[in-house]
Formats: sequence, C-alpha cells, structure tokens
Amino acid sequence: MKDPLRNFLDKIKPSFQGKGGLSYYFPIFDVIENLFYSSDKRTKGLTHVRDGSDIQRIMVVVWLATFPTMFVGMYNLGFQSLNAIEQLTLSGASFEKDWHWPLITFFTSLNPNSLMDCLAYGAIYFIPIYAVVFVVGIGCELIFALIRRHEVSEGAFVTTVLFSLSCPPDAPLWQAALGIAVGLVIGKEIFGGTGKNFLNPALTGRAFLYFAYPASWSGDMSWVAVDGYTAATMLGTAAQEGYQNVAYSWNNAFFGFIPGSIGETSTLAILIGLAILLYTKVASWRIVLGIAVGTICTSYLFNFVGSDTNPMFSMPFWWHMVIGGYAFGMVFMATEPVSGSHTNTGRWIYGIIIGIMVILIRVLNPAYPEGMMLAILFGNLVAPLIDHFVVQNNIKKRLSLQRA
Amino acid sequence: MNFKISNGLNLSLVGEIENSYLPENKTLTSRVAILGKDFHGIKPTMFVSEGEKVTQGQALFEDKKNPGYNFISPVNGTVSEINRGDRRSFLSMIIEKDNDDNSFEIDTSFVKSRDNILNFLNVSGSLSLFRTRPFSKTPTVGSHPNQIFISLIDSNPLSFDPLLVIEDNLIEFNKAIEYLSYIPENSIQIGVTNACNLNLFESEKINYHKFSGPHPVGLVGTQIHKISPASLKKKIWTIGYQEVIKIGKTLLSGSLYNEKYISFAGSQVFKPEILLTDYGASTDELTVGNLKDDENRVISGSVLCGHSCEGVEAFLSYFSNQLTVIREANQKDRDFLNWLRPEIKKHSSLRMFFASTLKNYKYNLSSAINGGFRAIVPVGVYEDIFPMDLMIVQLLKAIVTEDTELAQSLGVLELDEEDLSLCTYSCPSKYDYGLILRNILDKIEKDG
Repeated sequence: MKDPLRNFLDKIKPSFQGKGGLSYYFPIFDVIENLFYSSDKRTKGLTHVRDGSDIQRIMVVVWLATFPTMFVGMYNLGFQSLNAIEQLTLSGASFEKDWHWPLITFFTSLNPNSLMDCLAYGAIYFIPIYAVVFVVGIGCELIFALIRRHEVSEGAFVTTVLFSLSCPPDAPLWQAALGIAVGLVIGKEIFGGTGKNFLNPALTGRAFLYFAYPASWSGDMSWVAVDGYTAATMLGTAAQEGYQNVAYSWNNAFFGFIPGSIGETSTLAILIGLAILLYTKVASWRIVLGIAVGTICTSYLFNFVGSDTNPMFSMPFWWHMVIGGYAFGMVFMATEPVSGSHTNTGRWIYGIIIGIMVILIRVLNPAYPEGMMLAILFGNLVAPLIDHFVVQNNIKKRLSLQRA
Repeated sequence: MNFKISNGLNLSLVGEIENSYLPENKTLTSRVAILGKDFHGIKPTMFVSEGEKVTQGQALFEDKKNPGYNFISPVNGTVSEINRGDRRSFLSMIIEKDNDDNSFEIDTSFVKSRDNILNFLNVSGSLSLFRTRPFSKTPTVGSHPNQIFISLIDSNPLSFDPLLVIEDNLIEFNKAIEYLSYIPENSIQIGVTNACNLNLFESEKINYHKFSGPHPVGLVGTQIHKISPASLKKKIWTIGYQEVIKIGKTLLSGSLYNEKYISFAGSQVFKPEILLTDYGASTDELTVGNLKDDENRVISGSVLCGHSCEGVEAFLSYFSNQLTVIREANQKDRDFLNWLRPEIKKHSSLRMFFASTLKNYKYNLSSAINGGFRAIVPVGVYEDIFPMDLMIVQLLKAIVTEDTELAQSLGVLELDEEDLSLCTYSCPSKYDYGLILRNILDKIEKDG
C-alpha cells in the first residue's frame, strides 16, 4: 500500500522525464522528490554496496550543527534588544518602531528576563532574514540548475543558513537578498556549482555587503535590533580602547551575551556545532587545529612585541577566539570542504595561514576590526596553490622512489 | 619488512561463514564458463563453435591482441554457448561438462629456467591466471615481469582466511613458487599476515612481507604500492594464492586441475560456508536451494568488488575466491524524509548514523546507492579509507575529468578497479570510480 504523496509523485513523474512536457523542469521535480524520498537507484558497477551517507545528509548535518548557535543567538538578540528598550524607556528616550514592532508587541511582553520573550524577539528579526535569504538563495540555485542542466545541490541549503547567521540582525532585507545572490552566483554558480567553487559562497556574499554597504554591515547601528540604538561590537571597542575596557567580560563573550551577528555571538554554542561536525567527520580537524595554532602563535608574537599606541597588540588569544566572527568563521566557514584545501597536509597549512592572517588583520589593519572573513577568503584564494605544492611534492617523491 | 596500514575500512556484514573448515567434497556443477569480463580487452579468435565437443586442454580461442597464447578448455564437454555483446565484445563461452576426468597431460620434467617455465605456463593455459600491473591484463606471450606479487591475505568482507587453503596444499604451493621464482627479473614478493607460521618455501628470490591493518590490506595493489610501485617501465605480474596452488598441482602431477575454494556467504544465503568447486562454475547451480526468497544479487567476488552474475555471465570469475549474495534494493527502501532520520541500520565511514557508535554491529546492506549523484565534495572521506601514498582526491578528480596525463603523474597506473572500490563505496557523491578507472586505463594503454 503506497502512501498518497508517493502516488502523486509517481503520477506526475512521467511528465518531467524524457519527452514529457515539463522535462525542462526535471531538476525542480528531482529536488521535491529527493526531499521526501530517498533515492531508489541501484548500484551498477563492480562495487555493489554503498555508504549510507550522501551529500544531502552531509549538508543536513551541517545545517543541524548550526542550530545551537542559531537559537542561542536568537535568545541573545532578544535579550540585548529588550534590555536596550528597557533602558531607553526608563530614560524617556524614544526609538523608531519599524514593521517588526507590531509583531514584537503581539508576541512578547517586552520582558528581558523572560526566555520566551527574548527568543521570540530574536526570531522576529532572524526568521525574515533567513526566509528571504533562503528563497533568494534556493531560487538562484534552481535557475542555474535549469539553465546549466545540473542537479540542484544541497550546498545552497547550508550556504543560506550560514549567510543568514552572519548577517547583522537589523540589516535591510533587500541587502541580505542581494548579498546571498552575489555570493551564490559569483562565488559558486559561475564556476559550475557546488564542488567546483574556490571561494566560500556565504563569505563572498558577506564580503560584498561589507564593502558595498559598510554602514549597515560593519558600523555600530545594526548589532542590537532596536532602531536608533547604537552598540559597537566588542571587537570594535577592543580595537579602539583595548580589550580590558570592553563592557563585557570574557564569560559574556564565551557564552554569547554580547552584541553581534546572530550566529557569531555564542562561542559555546558554536563549539557544540564543532563537536557535531568533528564527530561526523564533515569538518576537518586539521583545519580547525591549524587555525588555532596559527592564532595562538601570532597573538603571542604580538603580545611579546607590544605597542603603546595599538591596544590590539596586547589582546591574548583567548580573547581573540571569543569575540567577533572568529569562532563562527573557524567552525562553519573555514572548514567548508570545497573552498578549503583538498589535501591533508594542505589542510594544516591552510588552517595555519588563516590563523595567522586573522590576527594580522585584526591587529595591524586600521580600517576593519573584523579579520576572520577576510582571512578565510584569503585562505580560499591560496588553497589551490597550497594543494599544488603538496601534490607536486608527492609526485616528485614517488618519481624518485621509482628511480631508486 | 613489516607494514602497518592504518587507513582503510573493515566492513562487517551479516552472513559470515559459520564453520571455517574446508569441505571434503566438491560441489559439482554441470556447466562452466570463461568470462570475457575476466580478461580486459580480449578479442578472441574462436577455434571452436557452438555445439562442438571439446576435451580438456584443447585450444578454445586465441586472443588477437596476444598472439601465441591459447585459452584451453578446462574440462571435457560440449561448447554450448558463445555469447557476444555490444560491438561483438566477448561475454562468455559456456561449456557443458561431460565428466570430471583430468585427461590432459603436460610434461613437467623440464629443466628449471625462465624460458622453460614460461613455456610451461603457456602450454598449460596458466598464463591467464596472471594479471599485469599496470592495466590488469593477461601477460603477453614472450614477456616477463620485473616482479611477481602474491597476497596471502584476504581482507575482503565475508572472505575466509587463505592460510586454511595454503596449509592444506602447502607442498603444491611451495613447488609452484619455487618454479615461479625463475620468471621475474627481480624477485617474488609475498604479503603475509603476522599470524602466518606456515613452512613456506624460502629462497633469495622470494621475499616475505608482513602486513597488518584493515581492508584493503589484503589487496595485492596495496602491497605492491608499499613494497615496489608498478609503472610503465616496471612491469609487475600478480597472481592469486589459489592460482599458485593450481599451477603447483599441475607441476606435481602433470595434469590439469580445475578446482578452487570459494566462500559462499552474504545476507541472503541460508547456510554460509566454504565450497570447493570448478573455476568458472555456474552460479545458478551453486546457489540453488540455498538462497532466501527475495530479489537477490549474486556477486562473484566481494560486495566491494565483484561481477554481477546475471544471464550469460552467471558464472564464477576466475579471479575471485568469493560468491556473495545480497538483497537488491527495492521501492520499500525509499525512506520518507530520509535526511531527517537518525537511522540505525545504515553504515557510513562518516559517522552519520547511530550504528557507528555500536561496536561489532553487523550490517545488512542491499544494493541501494543511497543518494543522488553530485559533484565531488572533498570532505576527507577518501583519505581516511585509502592506504596508498597517492593524492587520492586529485587522482579521482583527474580520472573523472579524463585528464590522462595528470592521472598518470598522480599514480593511476598503480591501480586496479578493486583498489578504488572503497573510494566508490564511501563516495558521498555516488561516483563509480571503478568504471571510470577502467576507461582511463584503456585510454592510456591505447595512446601508448
């Protein structure tokens, strides 16, 4: 006895296949069928059994791994914002109320001490961003799948969630839509889709917005979702006044009670995601460890050198690791397998380079306080070069063995 | 030398052999076949036609590409079918057996020298028991290798320990390797387990290497790579341990033996056991009455690397020591919202499922491909299961894009389909690297 959904899919399938009227749109049908039912294909060649995991599963694991940081982030956004509203109301200042406001008053009682209120407040800001990014992102992927006649890859699924999590909570939605479109098309699709890109598509989109609309993507207006309320990110304050003078403690930063992008604030929640990714072997521990090693060495070097004018010189590595996009970038962005290095030796080098670059940018560069995004994009750019040398080295070693 | 292999995968499946002893009696089948699949790129010129009576040792056909070497009839009987496929490619020659007499006699009193032994191999039809590396083909007449590799380890899922057979046929085995050691330029390399304490023939032309670790430690390709990699200049021959024993029996007795031990196992087999049967025996006859009632896939070889036994090719491969039967995937295997299921019965080299937390769990795998075809995403799974010091991701990409030059520099000539079978198994993008590899090797060989 087949279920009705299966029956329906079986009924409409022929029109998407072969000479069926809708065969041009087969990738769309394929996505929907794959969403509901696993593949019914059988092995053909010499290998008769296959591993249970596929790209869909891998992408879903990454998606699930973002959930801890997503929920803690939403809670924190609500917590920060409701506290800000309380302060503003107490001091009698007024603040702008945009289209979120009716929803907020409907779902919450503006109590910063209520878990549900904070979570709902965060969700009211995050879900629209994610929805817009998701629709635009999957739309881009679908259009390219149709034009280029390739299958829809679940990669876009992960790209959209990572991109949304790295958005400032108060960012304009049209900018977010533009960003994900640029990220997916320029960062991935024009190179042939998932598996062929050399830049991380989510970061490409994020970087584009960072430079195109610096006011809403790197200023101090967007991190707490209350219009008119300004809160600099910790990294911004630390760069100006030194980490010792930041209004938040290390514990706040580690557990995630600081202003910032939804996905980036709670290092602890991100570490839970990391544990999932490392256990399932989706992320390479070599990259993660490499970044940590690079960061620790470089920040110790700067600590040792010291500076009277630049307070960032004295920031220890454990502060670097909990503020800004560091943890999120290390766990979810740098470990993206396609844009990273493709060899095990290369993964170490790639990680270390990112670890060094992020500290270099944060400490020495006067213009941008955030270094992780640029460091990973730099890592993406040099990854093929690293692989080239690792591969050449292997070829040379084997040639000399053959001569011996 | 000792080699410890750490990268690989031991796939533990239901349907293992229950009693690890060799059977006393031979399981007879009425039909045997020579399969085209076993001999890559063979172009036979037939000496016999359908319906013709043949006697053991009679020349059946010659390979146009390897003149001077005749495939001889392993049995007395009647050629019942000669099957050809697309573009007249040779599929199989099926012989209806008359009896199990060993009527063919070969002179074994020659002086031990390379030429005499090669000649003996040619006359006794034993040359086709060897395969060359690179390209995995029957050696050409008149050629000889730099080295011969023999693996006395079988790490395939559901296989049995080769030492059982070698212990029983030690004299034959030793006799054969003594003779074979005259053939290679350099020496014979034999891979053994640490547990091997048999009294094997020793000489300065025979080297023993101890190997330990997970599958594919037993594959001869893995051992060649660790000891002395093959290349266009350094030709290597490989031969299975049962084939060595077959040659040994002929050397000792002067007649042709056509029997080998195989494991008959898998989730669909009622009583998994070791069988003694003919080379090229009919799998329909071997499996009858011992399979669970379902749509089954009969594989000559292991689940990771073997031929499907279907239609005119439902016969044992010459080179496999296994007959495995698993369930075909069907519509019931289509799980609803599969990507959300925690899934306890599936295996993954990425620890995606709950079963990966259970030690000693035995999997019941069907022929399902478990996913859609995607581009290669280098998540590091290939490196974990591939033991050779080759840049495996780059190599797989090179063969997928048919870049023969790059593939050669990355070491594609060292590989046989079975060496990539774990990569195919683990590939989340569901590529079949074995098929792709064969195309690339053919192309490289053709281009010279």
